[in-house]
Amino acid sequence: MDWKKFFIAFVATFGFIFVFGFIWYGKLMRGAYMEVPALWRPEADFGSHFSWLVFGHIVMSFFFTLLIAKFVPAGGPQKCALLGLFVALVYVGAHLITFAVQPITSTILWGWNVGALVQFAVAGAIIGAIYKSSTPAAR
Amino acid sequence: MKRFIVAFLAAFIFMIFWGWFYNGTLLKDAFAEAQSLFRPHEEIMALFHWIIIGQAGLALSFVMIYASGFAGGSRQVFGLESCWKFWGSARAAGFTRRSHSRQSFSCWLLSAASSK
Repeated sequence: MDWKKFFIAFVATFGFIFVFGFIWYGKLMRGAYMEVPALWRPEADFGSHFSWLVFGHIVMSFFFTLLIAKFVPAGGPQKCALLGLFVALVYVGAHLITFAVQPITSTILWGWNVGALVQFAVAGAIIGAIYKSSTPAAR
Repeated sequence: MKRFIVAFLAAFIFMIFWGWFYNGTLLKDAFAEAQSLFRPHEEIMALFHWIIIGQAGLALSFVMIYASGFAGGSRQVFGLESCWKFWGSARAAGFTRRSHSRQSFSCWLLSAASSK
């Protein structure tokens, strides 16, 4: 594994998903979240848990980068974006289950689903563009 | 394709049982402590089909990732590779957007299955 490229891809992915999450979930979906305020932590409480939010993004970025670096070693934005879509579909399944057991609105459900598809497809493309191992077929 | 379907069904059944055992039984008391965050039981039952669809989606996605990237003990993404080539050739051939995506998916399933 090319650790230098891996680290650059990981940092770039983290930067993208954090900014995308802030815009998509924090700004564009804010009104939808406000429809069910009882489900979320109050603003002050959320602020005190912000480190968990950052840590969650680090975990997602690290393991998604690792998944691509290990199993799409040749890289390439298109193929990695496709793998990103598959990973996003795992999240879509989990979101549907959440919808069944928690009183989120359908706007939130589809906002999460579309957000996950865009987020992981673009993140995959970013990783694929950055991470191209010099020994693509090496095991 | 046969192995793909068998793997999907096995993963789906495992996820249903594991979800029922872990989330529905072992974590039941923990969920009850935050009852206000969840739908009432009757409402969950009315939306139960979404749980099944969600579990099926999870299982399908996992099997797709496995079949395209891990199958046959190889780290070459044969499924993705083949599908991407097909995607390019389909575009070059001027397929319509609709038939294009349908055939690409079928191609992916076939290439994923054949990679085994």
